Amino acid sequence: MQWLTEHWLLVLPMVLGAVAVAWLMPKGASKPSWLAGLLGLAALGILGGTLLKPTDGVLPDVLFHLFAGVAIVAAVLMITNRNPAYSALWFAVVTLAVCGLFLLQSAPFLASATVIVYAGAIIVTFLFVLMLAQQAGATNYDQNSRQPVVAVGTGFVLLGALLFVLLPSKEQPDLAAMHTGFVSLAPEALGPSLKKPQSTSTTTTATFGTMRGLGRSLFGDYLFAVELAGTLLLIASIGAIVIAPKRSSGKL
Amino acid sequence: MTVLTNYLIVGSILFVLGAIGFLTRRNLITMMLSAEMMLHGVSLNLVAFSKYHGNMQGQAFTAFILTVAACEAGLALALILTLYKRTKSLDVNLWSQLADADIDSPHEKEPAVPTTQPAQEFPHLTPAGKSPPFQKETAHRV
Repeated sequence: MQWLTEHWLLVLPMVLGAVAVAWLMPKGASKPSWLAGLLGLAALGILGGTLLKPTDGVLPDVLFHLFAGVAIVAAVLMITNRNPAYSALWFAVVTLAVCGLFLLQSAPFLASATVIVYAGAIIVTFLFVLMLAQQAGATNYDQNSRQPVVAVGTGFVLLGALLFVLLPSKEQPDLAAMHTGFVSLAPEALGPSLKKPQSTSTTTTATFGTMRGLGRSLFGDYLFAVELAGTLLLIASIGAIVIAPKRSSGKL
Repeated sequence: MTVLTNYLIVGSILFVLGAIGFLTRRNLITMMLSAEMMLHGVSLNLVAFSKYHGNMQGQAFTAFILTVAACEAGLALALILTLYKRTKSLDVNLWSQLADADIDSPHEKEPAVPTTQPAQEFPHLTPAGKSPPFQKETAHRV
């Protein structure tokens, strides 16, 4: 009980969010969703007001809150929508918001690559398959989700545990303090062969976040992995061609 | 330096929402999209840690995640098309017969199809050395 009174700012948004998501899950007849929307927004507001710490600038702060809020709301709408085509479109919104967060974290190449790969290729292909497969409109299995209450409860318990670990409490040191302790401890813990990764590219603050730095890292430190990833792409495309259903000859 | 914990919180929320979507939705395509959203959460974590540590390792790993996600999407769509061709439906519950027979069905209220068949009568041989008892001639089933 004392634990609850200490951590009600974490428990309350978890409960509100779980109720909102479980209410919004498609199950049976359609329910009025504005109440669940209000609950979810309240949970998000409490979470954002208490857990998030302000950064140094006003503009990055505002942009972070904007992108994070859009990402989370669009994610909830994606997993609760009854129409899978709308789900795919909400997933595109999630992707764009996450790319905005990538930009804030000085990863412009990853942001553009994610937009191209996800929004440009994956979503379009998924929508294409969806339209190929589902021409009859609303279906039964989209209206009835499978065990929504149990799954939402499990998910939010997991989320509560994750956030509880992430929060700096009184007896736990902050993450920054843990980080410095980890760095001072790491070389003894690792073996002599693993002591320092031989980096051919010393990324300084001048090249961090630029395409030059990422290219140096990818084609210098991770050259072998890049080759493996290319091979993986080739194998996956061959496998997709083999797996995909073949049309009988003579048909278009 | 931006605050790392903010990004970790957003990443974990995206991951958990994707997991919930993967568990509850029954459409194969929506399940795949939820899995991609879990990958988004992980990518956000990696990029935030990359900024926090000031090196490019997290961003390089995110580029590999992008590659694997593209491969996974292509293979998943090929599989979904094959499964759709078999059942003419995207419902994942239709494929739950792959599970073991003695495990309870995850479906809630779908009645099981009665599989009781009438007991079949086989003709039996008499043991050797005994005269067979007189029986009325029954019609043999073909």
